[in-house]
Amino acid sequence: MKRFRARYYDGQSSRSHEVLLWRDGENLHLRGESIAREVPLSSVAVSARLGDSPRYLEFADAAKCETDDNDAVDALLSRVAIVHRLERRWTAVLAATLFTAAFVWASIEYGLPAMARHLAHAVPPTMEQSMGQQSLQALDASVMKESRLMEVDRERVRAAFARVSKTLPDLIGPTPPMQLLLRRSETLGANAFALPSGIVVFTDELVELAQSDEELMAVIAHELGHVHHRHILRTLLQNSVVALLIASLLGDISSITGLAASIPTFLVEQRYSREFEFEADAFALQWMRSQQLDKQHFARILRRISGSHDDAEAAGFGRYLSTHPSVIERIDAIEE
Amino acid sequence: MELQTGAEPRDPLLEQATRKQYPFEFFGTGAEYFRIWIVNISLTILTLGIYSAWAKVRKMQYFYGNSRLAGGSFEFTADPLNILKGRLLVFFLFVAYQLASWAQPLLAIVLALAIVPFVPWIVVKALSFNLRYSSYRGLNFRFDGRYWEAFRVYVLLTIAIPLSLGLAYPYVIWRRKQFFVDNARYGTSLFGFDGAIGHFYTVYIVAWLAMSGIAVAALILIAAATLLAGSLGLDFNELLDIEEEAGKELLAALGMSVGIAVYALLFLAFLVMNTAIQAVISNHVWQRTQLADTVRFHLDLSLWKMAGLQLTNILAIIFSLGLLIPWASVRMVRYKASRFTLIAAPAALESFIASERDAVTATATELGDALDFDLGL
Repeated sequence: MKRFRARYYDGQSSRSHEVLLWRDGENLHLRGESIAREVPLSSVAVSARLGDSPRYLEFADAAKCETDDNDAVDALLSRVAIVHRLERRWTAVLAATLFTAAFVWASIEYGLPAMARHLAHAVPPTMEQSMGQQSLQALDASVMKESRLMEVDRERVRAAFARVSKTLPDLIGPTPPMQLLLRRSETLGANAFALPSGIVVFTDELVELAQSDEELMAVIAHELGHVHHRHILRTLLQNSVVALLIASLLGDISSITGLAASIPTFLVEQRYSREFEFEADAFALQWMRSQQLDKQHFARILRRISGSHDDAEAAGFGRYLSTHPSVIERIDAIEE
Repeated sequence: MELQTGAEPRDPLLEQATRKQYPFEFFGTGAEYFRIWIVNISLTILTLGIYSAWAKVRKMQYFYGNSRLAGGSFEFTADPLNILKGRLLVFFLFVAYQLASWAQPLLAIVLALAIVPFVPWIVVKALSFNLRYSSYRGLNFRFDGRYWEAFRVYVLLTIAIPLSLGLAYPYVIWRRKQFFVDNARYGTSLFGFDGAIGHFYTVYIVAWLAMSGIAVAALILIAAATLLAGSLGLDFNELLDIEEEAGKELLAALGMSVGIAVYALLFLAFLVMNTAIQAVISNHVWQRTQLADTVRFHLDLSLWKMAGLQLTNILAIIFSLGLLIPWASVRMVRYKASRFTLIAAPAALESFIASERDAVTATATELGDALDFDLGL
């Protein structure tokens, strides 16, 4: 049996001894300047092979041998570990790369959205109500104030909301409970949004911006589309899983990869958000068609809302950073 | 237990004269680590995450084993099963916390506060875990930090940072480094730290001034770009003979692009600055660290080289869609190792002895393992 060189440490001190090791039947022999040992091979713990890095042979009494001769160590073992066999073959490495890429793509494209869709329906209504109330309280305490709309305008919005919510069951069957709230907010500007448990908030600024009941109804239908598709819950679920997925795939995040991981997480989250906007738009259009309303009403109010906000319209590269698709894209989609 | 600094009594003068420099070397390569990394990820996916504990051990061992010093390599000896237990616990805590924060945001705040008393415990256990399962020349490292010292350093001093309007920050960083180094052990020998607080203050003040300069420059740039775009926007309508609406959209797109570019640059500047701070602090910490009076260290990271490495690594990772992560990690470790030296007499390196607790590994570690699980910190 071939002899190979190793460094021997007795586990009691850091003294390094140059030794020779060889196998003889079921025993492992060790010889150095002032050391000679013979132990059953079965009592020696051999470390796993990792590329060409050194291997360790640990004896029962915590003494250790460290060697660079990986092939000699492999020869001591009856077989090469399967993981190392995978790492050694370039075909296996290529397959692993393709498999990982396919898995990441499929999870983001289909897996996570499907999972979130199912889970969102499993969330108990009490939990959803509590989430809706909490978010509303938080917004009321920070950026929203009581509505100052005149009674006439309030009635107008309420009537529009009633019309949309009453006619929805014809289109999609039984609907979850829905509730309209009016608020004033300088920070949010002309805005409407849905919260969990069917709460839809309209800002005074938006109501003032709308020039017809049809326009109001289009926005209401869009928001009820979010409610119907449970977009808020799905966003929460998807985003927490995306963060977990990307972090665990990149492994033990060190400072470099940690930063690199936050960017894809963010981009994927924004993408999901834009998809939901399109989905809610499609829902609004479906409802408008069922009511024989002109879809131009929706395009007009969208254009006006975007004009009322100072922030620049996302275009070009900025599109990937935005939670909402560009109004141009949305209007194109509406007019198609 | 009496802690001794070495084995036999030595002549200090003789030892000084025989001191040698031992460079750290790193032999890993990006190509080799890529294979290990991608197989790790694939097996982790296939086993629904369970393999991640084994993957961590393989990754750590790859980096440890390829790090050489004075003829010996480092070994990561943790048991993947313990890491798996720690990870499962962290996973369930994370899920529970998420559920709680959706159902009751207030409850989430209460939970976050309830974690505070555990922070020192987690810090001590995580540092213990990393050192306990690091071995060189057959001896393990150890961490002897205690809960109450960790409580002072990681809880009380953290509260002091905002109370002092940030003035305490360099002191807190110094104190944390001291806590870490002073409680570390190799066999029976203690590490010691005599870093200068003044040096920490100098580093952070210079960094703060530089960052303020960059922030002001960025503000000026944004203002200039806005003005420029404003005047251009008017021209668009005349030049291109387009309607006002289209001109506005073009202008908005332009403004958005400039905005994103400035934010990206600002983000990179902060990142580079952070790397530079870490490099300068690390250099100082290692130069002021010694092991058992007989071993000193020298780290000489170049601030610019580190910042350049960090920057190119991030760009490489982004543009390779993550495939260059192994290459980036190896490259960083290789550079750090190449600037790291140990200074000691050859006899000193041979004369460290195992602590008594190390000698009774068989029973004691099993017992300790149950508590010393890795919290993935």
